[in-house]
Amino acid sequence: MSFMEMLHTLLWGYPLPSEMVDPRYPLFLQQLGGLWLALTITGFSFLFGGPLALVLALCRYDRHGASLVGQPGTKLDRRAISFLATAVVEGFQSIPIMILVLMAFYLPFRLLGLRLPAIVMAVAVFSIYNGVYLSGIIRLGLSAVETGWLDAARTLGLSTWQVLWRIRLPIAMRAMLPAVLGQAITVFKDTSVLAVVAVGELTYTARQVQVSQPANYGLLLLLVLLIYWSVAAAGSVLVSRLDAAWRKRLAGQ
Amino acid sequence: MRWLAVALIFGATGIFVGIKIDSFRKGPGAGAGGADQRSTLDIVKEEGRVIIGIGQEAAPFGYRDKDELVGFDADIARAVASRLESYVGRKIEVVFRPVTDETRISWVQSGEVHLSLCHTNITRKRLANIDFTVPYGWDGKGVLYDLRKGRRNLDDFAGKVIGIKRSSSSEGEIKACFAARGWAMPELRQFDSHIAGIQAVVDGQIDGFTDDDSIIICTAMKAGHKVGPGGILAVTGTPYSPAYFGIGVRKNDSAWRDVLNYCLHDLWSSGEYKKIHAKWFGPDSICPMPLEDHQMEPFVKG
Repeated sequence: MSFMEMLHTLLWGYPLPSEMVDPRYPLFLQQLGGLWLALTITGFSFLFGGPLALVLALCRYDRHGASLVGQPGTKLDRRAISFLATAVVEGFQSIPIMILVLMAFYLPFRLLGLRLPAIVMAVAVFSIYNGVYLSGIIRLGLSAVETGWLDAARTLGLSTWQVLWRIRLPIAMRAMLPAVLGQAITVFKDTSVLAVVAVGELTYTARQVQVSQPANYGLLLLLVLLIYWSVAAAGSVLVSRLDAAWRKRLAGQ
Repeated sequence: MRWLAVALIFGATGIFVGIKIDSFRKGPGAGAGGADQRSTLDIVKEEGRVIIGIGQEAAPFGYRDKDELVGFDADIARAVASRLESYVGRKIEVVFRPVTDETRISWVQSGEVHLSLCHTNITRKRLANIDFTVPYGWDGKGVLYDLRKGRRNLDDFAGKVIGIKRSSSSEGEIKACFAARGWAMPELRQFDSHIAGIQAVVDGQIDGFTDDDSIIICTAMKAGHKVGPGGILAVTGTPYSPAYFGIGVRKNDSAWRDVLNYCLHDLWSSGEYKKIHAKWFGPDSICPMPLEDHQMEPFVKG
């Protein structure tokens, strides 16, 4: 196996042999592997985990009145909702991702007889994992916005939701950006635990390559390290660019 | 207060899940559960497909050679699957599902895979959770040595320097073996990888290196050192820590286990087993391990 072949395998994973194709699911859900699978799972965990995080963050009771879902005394009691959201967030935060992954690949079938493609379960478990941590970041970002601005907005006659969408979230977004990037890199690195359930992402692929290429172990480790590192580096360049562009736009206005 | 909430919600979920799993533990036919309680044989018959858990991370048992899934386990799995149809009585579609050391037992328990071949040793601890078919393969620990200095047996290594892989189970096992036989204790030297220890044997720094036969032979062969007759390395004959591999099946599901046993019997009586064994463990294979006096005679008469 040449250097280029090894790199290609790590980026795309091993091709799926026909014996491993489960004809009940679409092929594209089974074919992805290697680095791209790790990135796909990370991406989808933000797509599904982001909204979940926002809902959780908004549900949680905040001394400064951040909670916008449910009002005291009404049917949707704010405190009860906050209570539940807190339980979900803190409960999931206290479970190691490895255990979450092992549970996700075991319980749905055992309890409900639900057999799902591996990538679907991986995305589900990482969406929850990501959403729970992201909700903490969003909550902090929202409370970083000065109350004076919100009061001003309210005085202008904006509704609670308008204050949130037009004023609060856009300002909070910039404050949250570095933390969200850190979270993205953490989630990307954590996809490596999927190797224990044989999901063919980067780490599992590396384990497979190692078996057929024991002599090139050092080179393999170096390549894997470089791939993980370059993704993290690319992410951080992207964020600093984004931040600079944002700053420019604000200054221009 | 918040911790009370966490404890309440997770405690309730835990108890619910626990009860469900407990009802399942008792095996097919006991209590209600989400997963199918019937015999796996009935499930396979009804669905018309069998899901085989297979390891992909250990040569020569199951690994990737370019785009193909190859290995001894993989070939046995294919051969067993091809014979299943005659016992199940309908066309069966075969789906391989990769398993790892962490999931090869639990996915059999849950029914996620109908059978699993992942060079799994039959141990009492594992028998508490799943059942195994008759053994379809074996391994043991021997000592790899330099054949140029003559043929040797295990007792020739009394008081000699033997390399082991760091934190492997070989340390305790070889000590126990030598102590039980009253031989002089060998001096053990630790290595970080198998290939480093094997290289040390070739260079004459140590007298021998020990671990599972299949691992040391396969690693040495892949590194370009021929093991066995015609090579410069060899492994001592009788293993000091023998182990048998079985196909993992769900506990107390004898209808299904019988069918798989019959398939293995058929492989043995038709000679197909020996062909597969020769392909992976024959003299010219990547892991030369002779059949020696191992027997897999099926009890099919009468």
